[in-house]
Amino acid sequence: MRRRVWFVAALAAAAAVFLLPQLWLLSLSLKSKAGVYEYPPRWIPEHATLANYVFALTRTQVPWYLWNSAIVASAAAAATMAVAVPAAYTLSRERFAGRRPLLAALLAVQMISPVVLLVPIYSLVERLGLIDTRAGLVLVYAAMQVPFTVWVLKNFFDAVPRSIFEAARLDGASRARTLWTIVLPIVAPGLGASAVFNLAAYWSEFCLALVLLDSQERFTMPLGLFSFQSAYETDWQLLAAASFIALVPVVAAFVFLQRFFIAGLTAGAVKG
Amino acid sequence: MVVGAVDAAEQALVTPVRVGRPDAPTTLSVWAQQDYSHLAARPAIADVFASVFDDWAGAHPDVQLRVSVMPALELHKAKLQLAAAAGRLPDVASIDSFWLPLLAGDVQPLDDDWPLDDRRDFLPFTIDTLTDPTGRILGMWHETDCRVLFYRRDLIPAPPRTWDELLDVASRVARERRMAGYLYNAGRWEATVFDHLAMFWAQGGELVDRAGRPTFGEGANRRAMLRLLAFLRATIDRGASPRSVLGHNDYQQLTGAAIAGDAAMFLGGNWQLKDLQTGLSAADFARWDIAPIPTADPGTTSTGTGGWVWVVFARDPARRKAAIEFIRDVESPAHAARISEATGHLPVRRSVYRDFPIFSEDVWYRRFGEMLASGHARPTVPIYPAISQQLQLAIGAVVSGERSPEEALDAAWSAVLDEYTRQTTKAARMRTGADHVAWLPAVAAALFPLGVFWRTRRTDAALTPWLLPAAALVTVVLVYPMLDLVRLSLTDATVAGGSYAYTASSYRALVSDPAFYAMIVVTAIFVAGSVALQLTIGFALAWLIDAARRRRAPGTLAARVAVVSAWVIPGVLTGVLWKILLIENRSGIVNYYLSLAGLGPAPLISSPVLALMSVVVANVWRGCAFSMILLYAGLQRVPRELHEAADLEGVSAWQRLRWLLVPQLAPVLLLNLVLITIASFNTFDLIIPLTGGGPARRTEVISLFMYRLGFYDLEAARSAAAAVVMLAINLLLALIAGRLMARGAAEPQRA
Repeated sequence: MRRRVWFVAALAAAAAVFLLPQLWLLSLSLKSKAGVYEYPPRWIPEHATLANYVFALTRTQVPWYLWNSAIVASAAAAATMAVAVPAAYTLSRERFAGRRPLLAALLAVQMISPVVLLVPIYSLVERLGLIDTRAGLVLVYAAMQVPFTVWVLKNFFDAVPRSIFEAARLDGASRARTLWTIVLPIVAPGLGASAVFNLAAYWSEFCLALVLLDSQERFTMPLGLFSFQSAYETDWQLLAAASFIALVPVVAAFVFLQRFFIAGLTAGAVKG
Repeated sequence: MVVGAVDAAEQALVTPVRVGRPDAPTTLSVWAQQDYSHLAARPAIADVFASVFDDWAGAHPDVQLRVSVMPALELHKAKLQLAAAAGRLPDVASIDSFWLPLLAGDVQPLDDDWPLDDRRDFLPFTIDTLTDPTGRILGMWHETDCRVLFYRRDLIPAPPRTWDELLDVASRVARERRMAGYLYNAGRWEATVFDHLAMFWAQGGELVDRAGRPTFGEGANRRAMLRLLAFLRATIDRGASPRSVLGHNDYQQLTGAAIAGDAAMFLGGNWQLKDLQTGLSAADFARWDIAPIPTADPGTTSTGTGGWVWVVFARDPARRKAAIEFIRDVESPAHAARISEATGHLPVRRSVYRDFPIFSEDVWYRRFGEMLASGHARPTVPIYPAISQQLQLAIGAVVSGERSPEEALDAAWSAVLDEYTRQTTKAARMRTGADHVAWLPAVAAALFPLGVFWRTRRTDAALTPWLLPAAALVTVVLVYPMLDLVRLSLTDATVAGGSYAYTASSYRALVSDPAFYAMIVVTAIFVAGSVALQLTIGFALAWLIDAARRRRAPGTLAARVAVVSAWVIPGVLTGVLWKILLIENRSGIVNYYLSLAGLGPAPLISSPVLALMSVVVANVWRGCAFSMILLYAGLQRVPRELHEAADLEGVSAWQRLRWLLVPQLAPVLLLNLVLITIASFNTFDLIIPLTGGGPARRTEVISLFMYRLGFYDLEAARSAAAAVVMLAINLLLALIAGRLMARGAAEPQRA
C-alpha cells in the first residue's frame, strides 16, 4: 500500500510537469496587460478577464485560422489514407517484382523531413501555380505522411490472419471486395489511429505553411499564432488567449480519442 | 443616421477578412505591417484602424480590400522578395524603408496621384530617401521612430552623454542596486545593428559610399566601428550590462525589464515610452526619462530613424489609382494623427506636429521631434541587409566574448565584401534561355516507379492501379524535390525561380563558412541531447505508468493524458509557451522559482550554453509523449508470466529492467530511436519563436541554418547545399535504422 502512495505521487509529479506550463498560459490569457508584469507572479489572476478571448475571436482572424487548419488537415489526412490504404494492402498481400525495392524506397523517403525539401518544394508548388492556395498545401501535406502511413498500415495488414484471405478467395471475392468488406473492418482501429496521427501532424505543421501561404485569410493556426508575435511588441496575454483557443479543440479531441489512438497506432508500429 | 446604423448592422464594412462592401467590383490586396491595420494584435491600434478603414470604405463603395498582416520583419521581407520573383506581389504593401532597393523593379511611382503640395507636408528625409535617381517618388512614409536612451532619474541624476560616463554610472548602479545598469539589443535581429548605428554615425562613420559600395571596414570607418564594438564588449566587462542582452531580440524584453524594475537604463525606441506608461504606476513612470544616445565623443549626436513605407505594386492604372487613394486616405493628417497616437510611433507630417494638440502640446513628442533633427536613416542599398546580418553576428560574438572586436569586424567585413562581389558580378552574367538540365531531376524521379511498373506489367499489371496513386504522389512531391535539391545546390540561384548558372560555388561557400561547422556542433548536441533525454524520460514515464497500473494505483490515465497533451500542441506554440516561461526578467515564471531557490535569475535564453539546454528541454517536454506512447504499448506486450516469474525470483528493479524489459522492448526502442532522431532533425517550428537561433547562432540547428539561408537570405543554392548535407545524414541514418529494424524483427524468432 505504501508503494501505491509513492506511485500516485510520482504520477502526479509527472502530470504536473506537463500541465503546469499550459496552466500558466491559461493564467496569462486571463490577465490584463499590466497583470502580466506583476511581481511576484500570480497563478490566479487578481482581476481575471475574458477580454483577450473576446478580442481574439471577434477582432482577429483566429476563427479563420481554425477553419483553414480544419479544412487543410482533414483534406490532407483523407487524401493520405486514400492513396496509402491500397498501396499498403498490396505491399502486404502481394508478392511481385520490385516489391522489396519499393518498400526500401518508402523507408528511405520516410526519413526525409519536409524541412529539408523546403526550397525545391516551394519551387514545385510555384510552378504548379498553387502558391498561396489551400490546394497546394493539401497536396504537399498529403504526400508528407504517405511513406510512414504505408508502413504502419502494412504492419496492420500483415497481422490479419492468413485464413481470412483464404476464406475470401474461396468465396470468389475480388481483391477490392476483400479489402473493403472483410479486411478494412478488421483493421479499422489501426486506420483510425493512423488518420488521427496524420491529422495531428498536419494540424501542427508550420514551416511548409509558412513558405507556401501568403494571404492571412488562408493561414493555418500555427502560422496565425506565429503572426501574433509582433516585430515591436508582443501582447503576451493576447497570444496566450489565441493559443488557448487553438489548444482546446485539439487537446479535447486527443483526450477523447486517446485510448483508441494509442491502441491503434502502436498495434501497427510495434511488431510484438 | 438611422439608415446608416441599420446598414452597418446588416453589412459591416470592416471584418477580419474584408474591408469595404462585399459587392465592390475592385479588390485590392494589401500586405500590412503587423501593427498597422485593423488586424493588429494590439486592441488600441486595431480600434483606430477599424474606424479609419470604415471611413475609407464608406467613401469608396466600389473598392474592397483583402488585408493580410505579414509575419515579423525578416520573414515579411523574404515573402515580398519571393512574391516579386514569382510575380505574385499584392497591390499595396507596407515595407520597412530599407527594403526598397530589393523591390525596386516592381514598385510603382506615386507621382501621378499624389499632389506635390501634399508631399511637401512630409518630413524631408522621408521624401529624399524614397525618390529615385530620375526624381520619381516611390513610396509614402507612414510613420517613423527614433532611438533614445531611457533612464531612471531617481538612480541616475544626470543622463550620461558619452560612453565613458555611461559605463561609469551603469556599472556603479549595477553594483549598488543589483540590477542591470544598461540594457540593449544584442540578439540576432535587425535592431541589434540599427540601434547601435547611431553610435557609429555620430563618429562620422559611413556604412557605404555614394555608389552603394560597403566602406565600414576601411580607414576611419573601421576605427569607428572598432570603437563601437569595444564599447559593447566593455559594457559586459565593466559589469554595466548583463550577458542576457544577447537574448534580446524583441523590444518587449527591454520594456519588461524596465517595468519589473530590473534596469536603470536601456537603449530603446520612442514607442516604448507608451508601454512604460501603461505598464507602470504613475509614480513609477515619473522616474523614467529619455536622453539622446550617448556617443564616443562629447558634443556629437545621432539617432537612427526607421519607419515603414506604403508602396504600390499594382501596374494596372485604375487599380494603382485606387491603391494610391487608399494610402492617401489612411495617411491624411487627421487619420495619421490618430494612428500615431495609438501606435506611439512618430508622425512624418509636419502639419500633424503643428495642428494636433496631442503632438503640439505633448512634451515627449516635442522632444522626439527635436531628436529627429539629427535622424539618420539606413542606406537604401542592396548590400545593406548583408551588412546588417554580418554586424549582428559581429556584435553577438564580441558581446559574448567569443571574438575580439578586430576578429569580429574582419570576419564581417570579408563576408560583406564577398557578398558585394557576388552581387555585382552576378548582375553582369544573368543566364537566359531554357535550362534543359532542370528536367533531369524530374526524369530521374520518374525512372524508379516506371521501372517497377515496367517489370510488373506482364505478371502483375492488375496491381498497378493499387500502387500508382501513392507512388505518383510520393514521386512528385517528395522524390522529385529531393533530386531537384541536388541540382539546385549546384547552381548559384538566389531566389527560388530566379536566373542562375551551374557552379559548385555554393558548396565552396558552405565549407569555407565557419558558421557551418559551428552549426554542425549545435545540431549534434541538440539531436543527441534530445534523443537521449526523450528516450530515457519517455521510457521512465512508460515504465512508471505501466508499473502503477499493474499495482492498480489511480491516476494512470490522467498522467498519460497530461503527457500526451504536451505533444499535441503545435510546435510553434510550444516555442512561444517556453519563451513565456523562460522570460529572463522577473515576469518569467521559471526564473521566479529559480530565484526563490537561490539559483536565479538565470540567462536561460541569452547564455549560449543555457539557451541550447532550454531548447533541448522544450523539445524533450514536447516529445516525451511520443516515446512514452510507443514504449508503453511495448510494455503491454511483455508477457505477464515474465513479470510474475521475476516477482517470484525477487529480482531487483534494475535487473528486471536490464534482463527483462530492455531485451523485450529492443525493437520498440530502436524504432523509437529512429523516429525521434528524424523528429529532432526536423525541429524548427519550436526553435524559431523560442530563440530564433540565437544568441549569436548558438541554437541554430541545421534546419534553421538551411531555412535562414533559403528564406531570409534568399540564398536558394546555398540553402540547397546545406539541405543536401542534411539529406545525406538522414539517408545514412535511414540505412542504419533499416538494418537495425531488420535485425530487431528477426531476434524474437531466434529466441
